[in-house]
Amino acid sequence: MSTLQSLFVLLLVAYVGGFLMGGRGLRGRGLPSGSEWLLAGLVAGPSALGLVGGAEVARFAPLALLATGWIALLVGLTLGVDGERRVGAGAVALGVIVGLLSLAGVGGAVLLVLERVPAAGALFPDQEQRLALAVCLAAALADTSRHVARWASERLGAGGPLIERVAGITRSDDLVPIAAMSLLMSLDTSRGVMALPGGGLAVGGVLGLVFAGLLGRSLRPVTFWSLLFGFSLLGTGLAQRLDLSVLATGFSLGLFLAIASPLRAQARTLAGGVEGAVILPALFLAGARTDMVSGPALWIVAAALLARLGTALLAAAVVAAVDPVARRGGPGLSLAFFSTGPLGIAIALSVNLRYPGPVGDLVLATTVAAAVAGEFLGPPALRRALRRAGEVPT
Amino acid sequence: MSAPARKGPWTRLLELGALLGLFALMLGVERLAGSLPGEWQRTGRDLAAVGFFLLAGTLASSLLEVVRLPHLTGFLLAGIVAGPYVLHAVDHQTVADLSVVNSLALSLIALAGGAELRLEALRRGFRSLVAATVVQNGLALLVIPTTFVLARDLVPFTRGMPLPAVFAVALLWGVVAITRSPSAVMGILSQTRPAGRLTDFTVGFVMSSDVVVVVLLALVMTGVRPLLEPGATLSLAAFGELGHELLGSVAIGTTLGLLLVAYLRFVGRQVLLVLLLLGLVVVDVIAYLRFEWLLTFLTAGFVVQNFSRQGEKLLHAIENTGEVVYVIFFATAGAHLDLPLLKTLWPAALLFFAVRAATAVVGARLTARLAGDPPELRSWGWAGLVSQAGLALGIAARMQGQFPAFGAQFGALAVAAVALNELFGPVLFKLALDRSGESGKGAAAAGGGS
Repeated sequence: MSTLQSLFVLLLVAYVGGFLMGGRGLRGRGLPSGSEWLLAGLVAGPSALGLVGGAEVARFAPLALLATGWIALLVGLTLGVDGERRVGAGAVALGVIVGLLSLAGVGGAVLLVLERVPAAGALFPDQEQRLALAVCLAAALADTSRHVARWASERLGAGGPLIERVAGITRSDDLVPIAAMSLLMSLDTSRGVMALPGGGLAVGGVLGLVFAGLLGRSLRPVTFWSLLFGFSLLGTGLAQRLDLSVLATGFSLGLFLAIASPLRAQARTLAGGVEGAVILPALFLAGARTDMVSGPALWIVAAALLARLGTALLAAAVVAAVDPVARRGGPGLSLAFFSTGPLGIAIALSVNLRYPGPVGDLVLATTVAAAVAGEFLGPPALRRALRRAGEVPT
Repeated sequence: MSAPARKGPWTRLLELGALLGLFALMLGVERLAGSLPGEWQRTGRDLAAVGFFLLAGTLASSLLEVVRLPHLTGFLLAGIVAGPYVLHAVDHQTVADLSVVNSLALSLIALAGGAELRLEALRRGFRSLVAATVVQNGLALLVIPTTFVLARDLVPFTRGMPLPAVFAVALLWGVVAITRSPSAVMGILSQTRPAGRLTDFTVGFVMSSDVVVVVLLALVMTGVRPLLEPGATLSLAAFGELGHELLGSVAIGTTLGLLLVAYLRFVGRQVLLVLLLLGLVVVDVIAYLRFEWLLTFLTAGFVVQNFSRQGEKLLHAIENTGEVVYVIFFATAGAHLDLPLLKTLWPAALLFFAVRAATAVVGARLTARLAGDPPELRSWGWAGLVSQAGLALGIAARMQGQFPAFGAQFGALAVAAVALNELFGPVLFKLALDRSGESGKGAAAAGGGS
């Protein structure tokens, strides 16, 4: 496939994605977190049919990088906000707890398998590599898909305190994996750039504040787009050059823009309008970059997925223990926290780009597996919980 | 394009601080990571450069509003200062990597140019337009190439060329010289909101001049090739191919225009992605089929504007997309500017700028006499024709591909001359609209109408 054909395919994917996720009626079709796009990329990619070759996939690496930064920017811009409603402090705290539980659980399980299963450990003999793998896998799987709650609201017409609480938690747990990735990448000096702890968050924060200042108090859409594209591209490029986390920079840029600008609501509306055109091609690219896992590496995949499931159950139990609203959903709510969304895929994609080879491949493959499995377990579980709570119209 | 909001001194100060900060940031990162090898560095460099150009261009253009200079000058200046010949915040390789945006920008310019050609306005000023098209272009194609040949000592890359080859390059320069700037004209119109004969004439002439330029460019490039490339020959078959190319381009443009009408009418969503598809993919397909894609897009825009009710929707979509693309396009063009070469070319650029402007003044007087134009056209009909922008730079960029032996230096001379035209052109046009009393009349009419 030539560059032109690849570009055409990608634009077509973006186009269809924009249709499916643009404007009102988000997620009107397709799976809640868009995992069919992951599978489409996987099937079309070099690991399966080879319709998109390895060279083409590599050629689109800058676009994949840009997409991860953009997804993180949208997450930062909407952190702690559900639509036009601000999420309460309680939901934010629960979100952070859920994220930390998942991070610790998955990271610990991966390190344990690497230590206790010699065949798996032999794949990653270097301690630094093991740590990188554990942190990256834990970060990628620590995201609970916010799209599942959106799907329930928009497709099922759900409404009530439980769905609001779930939406609030899924919109607040993103801080944990992004901070973990920021710390890991900024301390990594293997590419010859000095360690700049938290550098990605700092660069994004400064850019976000300047953005807010320049935006002022009246929004002219053309200027907004110039600034948004400009700051997003600049942040992504600088983070890449300084070997910082692109995700952290994008996230911090969006977050500080939302904090400092009085035009945050309009900015969210405008930026959110192109969400589909970015997320679905990113999922397609992630699928195309995914390599099949076999042999002892399957131990690591299995450990990570089981740990993810276990921490989802634990997280639901913790949430139910401290929050009477969550108890109304019953035990079915547990699996709702198993869904991994586009941010998880973006984290895995950025790891795949930053650590090409065994670490990047394994993190991406595991996250894709988690996203697909979560797609079939999470939404039905959430629907059952919402029905039990009487929040889905009959 | 809407009129810019009035900004206070604190906003300007913030913009200036942000602009300086951006330069410092780029230079600081270059110092920290500039020596690191690897594809990952190149990716980061490219992405950061696009973002930087967008921001620096936007900020510089906003700051230049204070001294009433057009936005385009700000984009160019940002690129020049950041580019590899001044501060080196963006290097040669990155500038070359960013050139991919050229076809996208030019396709949007051509599409918008076609959509600005309204049949009703063309019919109303038909006599003046025809006279001006013949006189202005004829005079320019006579005077400017002659000046080029006579002043060839000022143009280093023609030294050592045989006289027929110099004549051929001079004709190509003549085609570049007859290009105008739709974007500059529209920018001034959006600022001054004028109405009247001068306004109608300038819009009609500048937009239709794109068609003339595209046709003349194809004719001249076919005609001069044997003079520049020893192996090439000129035959009637070549003109047959040219006719096929032009008619085919119009036919494809018409089809594309009708498809766009259907899309805008029945779907109307994701127009941004459709424009990207056109600019990044369809351009290559048309070029692969050996058709003239600028003419194709002009025709498509014309069809959408005049054979449907979707013209304003298309223009609005291009306007939203365009500014972002134009900033990168012009800033990259500025960064391309070969300053060491310019040091040797500036006398030529200044001479060609002066001769081109003088030709436009004389042409306007002759046209007015032939067509019986009113006084405002006789006095100021030339003022909107001085600006040059995207099309001239785009043609110069095409020359680099078509004639690699001198294309780069030709391009540098074009950027130098366009910079002067762009610096003074919009100022002159605004002055003309003010002096002829047309400024603000459009806004007043709209207010009265409502």
